[in-house]
Amino acid sequence: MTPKKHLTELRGAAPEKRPTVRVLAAAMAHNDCAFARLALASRTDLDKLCEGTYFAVEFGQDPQAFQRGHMFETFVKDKDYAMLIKLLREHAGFSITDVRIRNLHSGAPPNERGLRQRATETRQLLKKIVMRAKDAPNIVDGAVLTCTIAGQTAYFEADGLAAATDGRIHVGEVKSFPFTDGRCDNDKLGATCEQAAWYVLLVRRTLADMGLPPDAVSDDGFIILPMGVGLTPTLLVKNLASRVRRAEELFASTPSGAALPASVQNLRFPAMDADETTRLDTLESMMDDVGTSYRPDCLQDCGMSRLCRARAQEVGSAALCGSAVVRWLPGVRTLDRTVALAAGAPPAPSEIHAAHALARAKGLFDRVLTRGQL
Amino acid sequence: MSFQAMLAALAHVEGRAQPTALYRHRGLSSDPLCVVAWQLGAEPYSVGAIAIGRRDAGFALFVPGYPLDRDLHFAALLDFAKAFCPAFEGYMRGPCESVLHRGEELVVPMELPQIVVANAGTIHLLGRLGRRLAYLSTTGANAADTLLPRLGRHLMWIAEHAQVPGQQLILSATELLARHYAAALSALEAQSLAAMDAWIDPPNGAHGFHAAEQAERQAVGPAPAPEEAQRVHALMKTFNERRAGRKDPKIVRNLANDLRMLYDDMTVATWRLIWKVIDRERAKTEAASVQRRAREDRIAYARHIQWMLGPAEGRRKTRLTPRTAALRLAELEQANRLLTAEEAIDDPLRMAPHVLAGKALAGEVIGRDDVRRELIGGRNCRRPSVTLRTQEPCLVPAHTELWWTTNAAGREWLIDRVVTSGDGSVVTLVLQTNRFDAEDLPVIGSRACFSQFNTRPGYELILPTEAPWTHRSASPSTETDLDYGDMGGNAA
Repeated sequence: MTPKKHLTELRGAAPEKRPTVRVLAAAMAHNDCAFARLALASRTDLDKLCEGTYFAVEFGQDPQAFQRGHMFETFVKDKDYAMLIKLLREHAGFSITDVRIRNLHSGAPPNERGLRQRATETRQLLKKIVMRAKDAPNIVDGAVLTCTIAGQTAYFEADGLAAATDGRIHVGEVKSFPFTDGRCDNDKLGATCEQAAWYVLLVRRTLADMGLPPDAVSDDGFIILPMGVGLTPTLLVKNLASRVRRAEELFASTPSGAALPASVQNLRFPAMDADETTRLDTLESMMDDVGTSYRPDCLQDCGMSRLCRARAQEVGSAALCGSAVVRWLPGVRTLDRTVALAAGAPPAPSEIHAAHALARAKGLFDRVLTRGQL
Repeated sequence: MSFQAMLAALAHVEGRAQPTALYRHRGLSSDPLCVVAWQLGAEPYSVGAIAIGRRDAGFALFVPGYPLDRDLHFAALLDFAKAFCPAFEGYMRGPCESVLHRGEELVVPMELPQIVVANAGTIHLLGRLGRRLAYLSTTGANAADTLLPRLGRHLMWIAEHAQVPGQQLILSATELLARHYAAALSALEAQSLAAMDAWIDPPNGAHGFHAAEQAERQAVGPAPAPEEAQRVHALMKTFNERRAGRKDPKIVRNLANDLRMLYDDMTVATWRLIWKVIDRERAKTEAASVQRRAREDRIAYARHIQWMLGPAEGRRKTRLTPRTAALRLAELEQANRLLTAEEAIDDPLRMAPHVLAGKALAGEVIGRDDVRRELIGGRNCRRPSVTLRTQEPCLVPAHTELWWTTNAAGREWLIDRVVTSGDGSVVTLVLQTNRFDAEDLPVIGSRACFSQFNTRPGYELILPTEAPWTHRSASPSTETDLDYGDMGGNAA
């Protein structure tokens, strides 16, 4: 069976997730989780599989938040990207005289075929830009980029934009959180830069594939944010070099096996119409076969996180308490074992280091609670 | 630290959160104000609803209906200001004392002005709301009621003061719990007030994890739970359709009834949870140094009110100059240093992790030499010493400066000798002065704790009056009105 066919089979009747660079960035933050990687490769939407069960994760983006994002993006792109061009001229020193825009959203069907079509066109456009062709676009919207995951070509839609001048390509992200008094929410800015960095990485890999110099993509990304209460946009130039390097390392650490390992040959994600118990049982047995890696930050972006957390709780994994606690328990397997060691159980050789500190900690804790002093 | 890891593991096994403090390290005034605010989607500078009140009197809820309409939003905020400003400024009208602060007499309220909120997110939202209102023009075509900028300046200052470590002027219930309990959850999950509360007091003997799993679906603001957000969205849509652009307060009030009822339900749930948490924590004994920090808060409040009454009418810079930024940073660092020191000194359970980390030692006083002398620079000086026996091996290296926790503002002690004895150590410390009273030394047979923490005043930051060229900013900033200035032109 070809890997591609296999992946489609693996997904079975489970819901499909539209691959975007945002999804890739989120998934790559969890690329130590084999289960999440399998879902990424087969484009299975994990966020939906637990819906209606006890473990459902309610991401449900607030409709108002969505509306705001949409409104701002429309505003920036309105009238043939007039606002964007103005920003590029004023803040990024672009001397766009002859504006050529290519919006790849238009004209392509919203399915697999459309994605492939857009990916091909994206490659052509990139080539034109780098070769400084006369009819090369300065602004590309809706690019589709490819990369190989689990031996399978995956297509990723860029939410952002690309702006080009003199053969240099800059990536851009439009976000609706405000920039006021020279400040903005640093967490959100970080996440945005992260996405932009993945975009840069994918474009560079595409260029390298075509034998073109990858450094045609600038390290400087453009982040477009509204100022204050209204929608008046501003543009920040952010150097993404270190984030791109990090993304590269993460990407390199993904196993690139040509085919999926034998262990997953007979697996299949459950269908949404299966009843609650069957769905959860199938998911759990898949998790047992493939392996997961729960971390508390999974709760922010993975639909399986509550299920994984409950499983971690059952075995008493230290991962429940976050990475700091895990670091303080070298060689100790579970939280229950931690308490046993703290109470004075004889440590195994690998636990000796942690055991001493734990026993002392427990001794002090008990003394303070019973006597009220150290 | 392994102390935290041990507590988390203990919480997991026992199914309950474990205390990380014997005392309450934040003050609670007798009848604080409480504010609950609900954000609308990702709108940073608006509220879908905002409520204010006190524990027994209950809350008053203000719902603009459609906050993206500036007139409706400001009308609701004006009503909120009419409740907030008199209550917040009212502390000045209570009993006051006169305090000498930086060379000037300052009238300071005796009671700690205090606002209780659910979490840090609410404080940030209030700060942003303050930023929007603080610079509104009260003259000209788009004149705002003078109460709105006044509310804005209060809120902006409060959100800024919230950055001071250990302040209790605005108290986040979530942070209060996170600092006093350890549970088997991550820092991210501990941001849920309901989950933390469930871990501390799981209902019907359930395991804290399972109780928290269910409780964490309750949102306490500023972001509503996803399902509630959907309902808000739907109701707001109907409201706008039926309103058809009308802004008459009576019509708006009538039409917004359903929306108000939804927000009222959400606020009631949050309100109950906040007061459940506050009431439980109030029962704990307050730590000794809370009064000192509360005094700092009262002084900060009095200075803010003075600034509000002055010619600037409470206007503040939104961007710090390099000089004020350095001063502010130093102030925050000092406050943080003092807070860590005071909490550890006040509370043996807070000191315990420092003992494990080798920053402190505790034990029984087994010897004391008041007349001990040593040669210092050729002179035979009096330097008293005490000897302690500790139960754990002493991890503090010899010749470290330490302070006795009972006299943490006094002179330092130097570790002279550490001798291993059984499981623990025998440690000799020497007081670094010959001027002392008998009570400056611990009594034989008592238990004493010495740590690296002291409460002596920190260094004084002396800066040049003019910023050096490395720190000069390109252009001085001006405060802009977010609504009618350059940045509000396209507001919805």
